[in-house]
Amino acid sequence: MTTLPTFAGTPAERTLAEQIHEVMRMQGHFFASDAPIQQRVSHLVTFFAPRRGGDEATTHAEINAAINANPEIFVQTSDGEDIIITTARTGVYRARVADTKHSLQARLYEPEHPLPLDDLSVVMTTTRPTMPKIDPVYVSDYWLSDAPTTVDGIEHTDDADVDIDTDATVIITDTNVAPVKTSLHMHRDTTRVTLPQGITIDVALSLDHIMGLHGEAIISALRSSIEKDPIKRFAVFGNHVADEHEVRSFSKNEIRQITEYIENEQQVPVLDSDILVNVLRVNPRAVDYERQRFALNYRLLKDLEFVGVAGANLWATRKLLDKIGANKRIKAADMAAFVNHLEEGFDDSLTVTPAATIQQRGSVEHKLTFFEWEYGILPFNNALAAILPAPVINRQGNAVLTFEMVQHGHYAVSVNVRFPAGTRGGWIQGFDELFREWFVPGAVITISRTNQPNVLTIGYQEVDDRIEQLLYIDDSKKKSKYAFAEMRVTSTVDEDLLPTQANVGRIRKIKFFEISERKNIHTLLENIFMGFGEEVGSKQDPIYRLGFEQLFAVMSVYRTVTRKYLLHVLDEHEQCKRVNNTNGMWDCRVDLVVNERNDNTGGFYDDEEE
Amino acid sequence: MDGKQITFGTTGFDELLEALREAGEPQDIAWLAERYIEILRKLAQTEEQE
Repeated sequence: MTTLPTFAGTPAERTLAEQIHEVMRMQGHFFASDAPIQQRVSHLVTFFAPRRGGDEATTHAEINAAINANPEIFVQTSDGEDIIITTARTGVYRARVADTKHSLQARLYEPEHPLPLDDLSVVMTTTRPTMPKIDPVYVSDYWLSDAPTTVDGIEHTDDADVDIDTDATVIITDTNVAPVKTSLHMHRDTTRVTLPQGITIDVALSLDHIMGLHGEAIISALRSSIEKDPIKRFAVFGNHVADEHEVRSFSKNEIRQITEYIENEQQVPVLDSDILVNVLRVNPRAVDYERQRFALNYRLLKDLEFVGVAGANLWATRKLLDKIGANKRIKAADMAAFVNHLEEGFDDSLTVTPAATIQQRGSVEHKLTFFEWEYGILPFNNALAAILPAPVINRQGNAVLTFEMVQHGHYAVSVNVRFPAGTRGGWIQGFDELFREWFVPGAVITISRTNQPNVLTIGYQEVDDRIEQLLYIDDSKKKSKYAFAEMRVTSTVDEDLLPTQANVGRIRKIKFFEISERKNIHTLLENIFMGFGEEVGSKQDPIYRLGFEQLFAVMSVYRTVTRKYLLHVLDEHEQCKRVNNTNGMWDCRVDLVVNERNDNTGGFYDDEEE
Repeated sequence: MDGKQITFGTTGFDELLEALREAGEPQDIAWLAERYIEILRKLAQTEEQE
């Protein structure tokens, strides 16, 4: 497949450039993807003028503007009579330089009269040397210093421009465009630089042009290079860079004072500006204030935890961070296992509302599942990422954000954002109290940005109060179990996710899975099918039938899951198949669990017996 | 210097550091990238002229 280039210029120039390239691609339809395709500008004018409904002079000017706007794609040369443009099917033609410097042919036949060797026996012997001793092979000085190198028979040195004489006849498929036979002289471009990502840029082009085309790749490559600089000449914090030698250091005593200020006095993450003013006594109006701020942030990376976001550089100690959003019921490794699928391409949170709309609105709607409500955790999905502030430093693990309740202005919690890293998914923890205080599982909440980058709000739509018997985890006894209790519903809820007796009552017939046991989604799946599904098989062929939405609702009680991931698990499961002509029904054969259920001695407990 | 001899992320870093020092204050990475392109252009074109 040919990758088409991106054209530059005004919209009209881009359109015309694209048309020119299309015509030239047709011309070179059977050419190799990197072979040169040439055409005279005058022929293009003859071809395009009638089609564009303009006179030849206007078309000529338009074509010139289009090709001038895309110098990388259309290389211009002249044969004295006309401009000839060269491109390739891939968009950019690069002259192929044959490296024949060390070819056998050159070594055998050139020069025609090699210098005489003093003693042929030093380079040639008819006696096989005794192995393993390897005698040195002497090479004549001629080959080391005086030998010429050639390209296509033309002698040149490494530094000189290479003239490649390619007499090429271009086959024109369109009868309106006459064939061209021209001698093309391409010069090796000494101003092309290759980025580590493999992108080649021509540094001779204008800065705006280069940055417009490859700005992101250049910045990314430069950042990576300066961070890996072996002698650490650059100091980097966020998007700012300074000469490392010019960044002031802080004494051990100053670092100790800062630590004590955060941990003992404030007991919450503290802004860099706060530390500068209250600990280091730097005047915010001082000329070198920004330099001091950069130095503080850069130097603290070694000793403290950066938990800020763009626009709010917050610092905490490890001890303090461990307390924020602490969740003793779920280990980080277990939680990571529940959200990894988000980074594996199964995040479907933007299916209904695209990221751009969420960013424009500055708010996102979320339906709380039982798992999220019970453990005070929200998955870091793409929809939430669209409104949450971005991390500041590379490989930033955490950020501390404050969530305030819209309807209850005085109420706020600090939460710990665990950013995704590589293939590990991310999540936000620390909502336990807030969710239990104001919501029920299934509640529809709205998370919104505020003017402060590290402060967000949670709102909900109020409805007439009603009391429902809803699921909760009873931890009062040694063994945890699911139970139902009366809860007050005061906000809008998703009735499918509301864990009522009718929706998830049968969960009490399934073994209570500890958190670490929920990582195996297949085990959960089989147990849910057995516990909630309709028996449609026989004793020998134990098959259970369950609707996808109900499966999703029950699975959401146990762990974080997306519909896309759940569907993938079902599709991959050898014992499960979609039921034809039904609305989202699935059949799963559950051998192992059904036996346990029948003899009633396995992992399933009967709540009534306890 | 021939473009092929330029190693992005190594060649011209001393000049880049000098530019950063002259600026006097920490600079945005985008600013730095633009200065770096200018430095590489200068290096490549100097050789071309020679």
